[in-house]
Amino acid sequence: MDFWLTALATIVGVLISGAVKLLFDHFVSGASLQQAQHDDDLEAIIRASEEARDRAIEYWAANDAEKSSFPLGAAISGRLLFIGQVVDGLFESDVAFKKAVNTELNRYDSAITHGNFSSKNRKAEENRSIEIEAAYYTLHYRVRRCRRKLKRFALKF
Amino acid sequence: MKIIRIAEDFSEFPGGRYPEDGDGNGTTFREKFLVPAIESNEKVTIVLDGTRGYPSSFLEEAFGGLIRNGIPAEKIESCFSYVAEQPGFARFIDMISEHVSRAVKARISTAAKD
Repeated sequence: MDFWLTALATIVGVLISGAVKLLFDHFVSGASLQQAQHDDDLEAIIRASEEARDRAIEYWAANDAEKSSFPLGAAISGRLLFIGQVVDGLFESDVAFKKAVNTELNRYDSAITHGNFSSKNRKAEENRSIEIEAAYYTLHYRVRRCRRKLKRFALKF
Repeated sequence: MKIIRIAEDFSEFPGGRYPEDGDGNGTTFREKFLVPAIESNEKVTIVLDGTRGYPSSFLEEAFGGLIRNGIPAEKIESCFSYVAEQPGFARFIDMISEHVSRAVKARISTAAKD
């Protein structure tokens, strides 16, 4: 009798520890994967916003009449759209962070595309670079700060 | 309720302010879609999805231009609602509101100077 009790207890123990290990692995590796994805998204936002900034400064440095700026304008618009898509994905689980980052993204977007952006005979505005740089760093700061504060474990079943 | 799908009914590439800037310019969008909708007193849903984004200059000319043409902000608010379900597009709704507010402030400031 003692033998069977011991055997049963061992089997139950093995099953329970196996289940606990499976659950632990699922959540811990899932959380690690999620963190890695968040870091990738953050990196993509930073990279695309930096590229948009560099192109925007080049865009506003010359008159449209001197050199057609259509390709540059298209490159900027594409990046701004992409940043918005990644921001929505990264902060999907937190509405407040998503709103905060999108507010800064809109300021950054406006700094680049307000005025005569995409207009024919657009005049150069060298001072625009100051506005763009300031908005870029504010966005940069905001997105990093919100990323840091994102919950470490957002369990998904 | 009337629906304006910008990508299908107007342009997949909205951009620029004036007709000489291209087919997707803000003035044409305002005159062809927004002003008639306001004049008809109809409720209109504007679907923002499907385009390649919205430069601030386009949104300012299209929506801020309504204020400069004498249309009250309340009328714009009551006439239009927006749909932006594609990731990255909801923020454009805030940009539209921002441009309307700024145009109202600019109008008040100009009136005060006069």
